[in-house]
Amino acid sequence: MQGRERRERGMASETRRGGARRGRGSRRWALPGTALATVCVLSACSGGLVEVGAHPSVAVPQPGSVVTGSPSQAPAGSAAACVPAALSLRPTAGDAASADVTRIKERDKLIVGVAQDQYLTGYLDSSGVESGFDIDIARQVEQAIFGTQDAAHIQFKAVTNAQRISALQTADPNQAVDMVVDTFTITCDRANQVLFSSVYYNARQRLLVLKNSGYKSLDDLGGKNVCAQYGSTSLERIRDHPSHPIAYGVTNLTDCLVALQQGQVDAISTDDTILAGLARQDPNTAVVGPAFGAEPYGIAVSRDSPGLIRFVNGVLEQIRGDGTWQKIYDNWLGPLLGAQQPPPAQYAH
Amino acid sequence: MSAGGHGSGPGSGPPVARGGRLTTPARLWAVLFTAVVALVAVGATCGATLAARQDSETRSAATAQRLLVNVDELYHALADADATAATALLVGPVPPAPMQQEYLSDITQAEDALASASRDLAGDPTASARLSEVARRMPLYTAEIATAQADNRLGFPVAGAYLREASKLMHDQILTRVKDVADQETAAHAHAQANASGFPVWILVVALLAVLALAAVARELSRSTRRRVNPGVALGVLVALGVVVWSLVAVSSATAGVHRAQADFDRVEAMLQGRDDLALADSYQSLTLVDRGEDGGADFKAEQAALGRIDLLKLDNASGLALAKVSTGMNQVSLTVQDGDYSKAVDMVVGHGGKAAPDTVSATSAACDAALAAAYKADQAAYTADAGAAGSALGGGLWIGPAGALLAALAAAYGINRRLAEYR
Repeated sequence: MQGRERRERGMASETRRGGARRGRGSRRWALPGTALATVCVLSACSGGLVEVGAHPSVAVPQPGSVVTGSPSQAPAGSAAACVPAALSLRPTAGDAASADVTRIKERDKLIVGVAQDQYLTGYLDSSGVESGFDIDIARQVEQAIFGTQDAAHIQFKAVTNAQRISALQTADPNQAVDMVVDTFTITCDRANQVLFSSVYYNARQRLLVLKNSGYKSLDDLGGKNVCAQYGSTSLERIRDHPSHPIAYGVTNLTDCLVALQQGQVDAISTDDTILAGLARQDPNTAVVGPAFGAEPYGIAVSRDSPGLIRFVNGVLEQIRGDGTWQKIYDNWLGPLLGAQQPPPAQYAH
Repeated sequence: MSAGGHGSGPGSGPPVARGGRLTTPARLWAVLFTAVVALVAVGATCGATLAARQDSETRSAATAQRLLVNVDELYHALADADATAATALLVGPVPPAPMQQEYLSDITQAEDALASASRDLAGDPTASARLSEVARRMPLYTAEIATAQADNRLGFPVAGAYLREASKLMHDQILTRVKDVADQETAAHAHAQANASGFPVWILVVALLAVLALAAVARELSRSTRRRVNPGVALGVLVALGVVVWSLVAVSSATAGVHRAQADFDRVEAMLQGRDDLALADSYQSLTLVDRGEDGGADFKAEQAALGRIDLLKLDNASGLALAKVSTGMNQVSLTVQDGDYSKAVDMVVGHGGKAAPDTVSATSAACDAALAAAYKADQAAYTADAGAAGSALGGGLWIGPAGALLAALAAAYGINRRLAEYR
């Protein structure tokens, strides 16, 4: 999967087509023959998309369940002018004193929307504390604003995929967040709704397979079930791949790991950061194959907070340069994804 | 009727007068036969009706009700196991021992209840097939929960995926089948109750026909013997009348008892259903916290639906108050969830660090379950007493009807035979 924000657009796209999607579910418990038949029927009728989901009944193939297009691309008409990784605002010297940052200082708390179920990027550890790569990035912003990292100055709010933009736009103080740090891929479409920071990580879509499976890339998975999250471009890339794998959709990505462990799918394909988290949970799996498709992650804030996004960009500049970014990466993702350098910053202005 | 035919008694050839008309003795024999049949029919109908109602009431109280309660205990044990397993995952890597013990106890109870229900329903192919499906899926469920617990010990989010899958299996495939069996037993119980309390139409129909037949008998006797009243027939009619009146009184009394028992059982069902829905609400609440909103609010809606199904009007005061606390607590949790503060919401449900506290939703829910269980047992005792009283009211039906019919028939036969003797 290429960034959780894709799911939102994918879902919206499905809704426009009038398709009723099925969530994760009990189909896994169908008799093997039934499951096989379902896979075959769906793959034939919906262009290779297999759905599993939250609903108990077997999903009926519907035209709306077929994912088409590429949500990660800019909308027609703006694609030529839009470079997602270079849309952000350049930091300036006075950002720390901007009204946006001052408002947070006066509140004495930075409110951050995060995932709490993505191992290694944003999750609750065994003691119930938010942990992960994104969480540590968010704590750097807290450190820059308050000069310290503690629970008193930062509040993490769990946001779902669908809430990531609305949480930045809402006027409800109980639900609003100052920024979202949640494997949030920068897209031109989204940049019309929120302000993104410079890229703090370049994720790439890859594959997770069982170590003894012998699969090395999507080329080896023709006719095999490959799992991804609903509404993600990963699902479409799987289906559209020349080797014709069967796209197997789920609501929660951890359901993909269950499906892989239970032999219902042969591989999982999504962002390498998320795959690393899944691989850590099952040492019998490995991230393999070449990357296909870049997913630049950015921190998002409200479009009404240009001062804050400039300030955040300043923080990112600093941690890129002082080795903090590297330390965070090496702590969470490096052992599984290999050595990487922080992505260079690009700005629109 | 002609008074001719003298000398044509029994054994003296066909008792037919000239012109094809029956002789008087022949007519008296026909009258005797008619009277006996009418009186026996009245007694037999009364006896059979009372015996059938008593049988229905006995089956209702001893079989259908017991089966229904057993099946519901199976449902509750399974629902509670699922709620406990889901809640335990919220506590942390290592759930408290009492919570683990409760889960294991629920599973054991469910297995026992399943074995018991399977034995009791062995002759019912539909129910047996459903229970077999439950038996096949239960090991899958416990295996999924075991995997979730193992992953949770390691702090892996995939634990939530296994829990969701297990809960889905429980809700969509196991509990639905148990519910189908419970619905079947509820229908059987209602059918038995209806049989035991319906209007005694056959007694009245047969009694009416007997009245018509006995009126014809009296008329014929009066014309044949020139006597206004035959003492034997009169006695028989009085005895039959007594049997009918006694039967109607018994049926009326038993029907009132059955209605009281039905009211008791309605409350028993409400309490049982309340416990089941409370366990489901607990389970869905925990799943909401495990999913952290990724399910699009489906679990929250299911939680609210389960709470909404509990009929407050049928609960006793203690259960109603306890349920109100649970509902308030769950609403506060949902508001906290809406704010995205899942950690606080988890603390509100299970206590900080899983330390039990009386004001957590888990604790108030357990108290509510205990109140519902106490009320259910009290109502079940009342049901047993009222159902027993209803059965007792019908208790004499097995012998009073036939005995009365025999006595009435003998009296009528004796009375008519006295007239027949005049022709011998």
